[in-house]
Amino acid sequence: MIWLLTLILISINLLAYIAFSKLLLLRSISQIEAEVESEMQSRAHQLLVRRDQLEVGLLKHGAEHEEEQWKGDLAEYMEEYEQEALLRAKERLNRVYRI
Amino acid sequence: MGWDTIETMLFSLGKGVFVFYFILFVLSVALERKVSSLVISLMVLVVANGAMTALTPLLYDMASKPGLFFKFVWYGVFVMIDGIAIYLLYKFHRMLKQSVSRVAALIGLVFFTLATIQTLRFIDRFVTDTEFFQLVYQYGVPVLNILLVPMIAILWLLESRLLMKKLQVVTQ
Repeated sequence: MIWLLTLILISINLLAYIAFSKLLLLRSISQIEAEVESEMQSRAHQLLVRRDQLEVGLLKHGAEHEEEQWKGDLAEYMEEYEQEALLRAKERLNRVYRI
Repeated sequence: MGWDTIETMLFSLGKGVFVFYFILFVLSVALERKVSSLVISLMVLVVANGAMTALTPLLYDMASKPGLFFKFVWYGVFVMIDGIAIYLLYKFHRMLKQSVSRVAALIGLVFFTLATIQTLRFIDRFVTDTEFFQLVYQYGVPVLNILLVPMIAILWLLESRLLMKKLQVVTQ
């Protein structure tokens, strides 16, 4: 009887540990996502500032070249954003579902 | 201040700690104004601690009866509530798509530690028949519950400051 009750108690404790480790895993995923989000946000902000400068003619000298450069950077940003989203979905979020 | 006074204060604070959790929860709802990891964590803390506080007299009556099963119910119910609280923390964060904050991780850790103390004390008392964890159980549980209040407040402040700094960097 005593062993059965002890086993039940240890099992509930073990389940609590599994839930806690899942919470910690979710936290590590949240941190990675927050870092990526912050970096992407900062880059998006820089792109918008450059767009504004182009539109008000602050970069008249070589404006066409700047315009091309901006479009190239925007395309690169969009591609990275898409890749990052896919990577997160495949590698990180799946880890939560697996446990 | 003598040890007796400290002991009395510790146990009376331990019993009334639910009020502090509730105040923190109401403050978080008023100040955050949206669903956040902090609000979720404090809500789970208030519900779990409220359930334990409400059940304690009933469980105490049961545990006073002779028989191992009644003693088991005392420890088992607390371990179960701790476990359910951790599961709810995890589930609510996932359901509401919230990042797990330091406060949530801390509350999860405290629940897990409390559950482990309960299990160890049961084994200590009824399986190995030793009293190694008697003091840890007697003082550890109320101390952890009380310490959680200032720790949550400090982490909340720290996270708010970090968030403000991040927002400043992004908008610069």
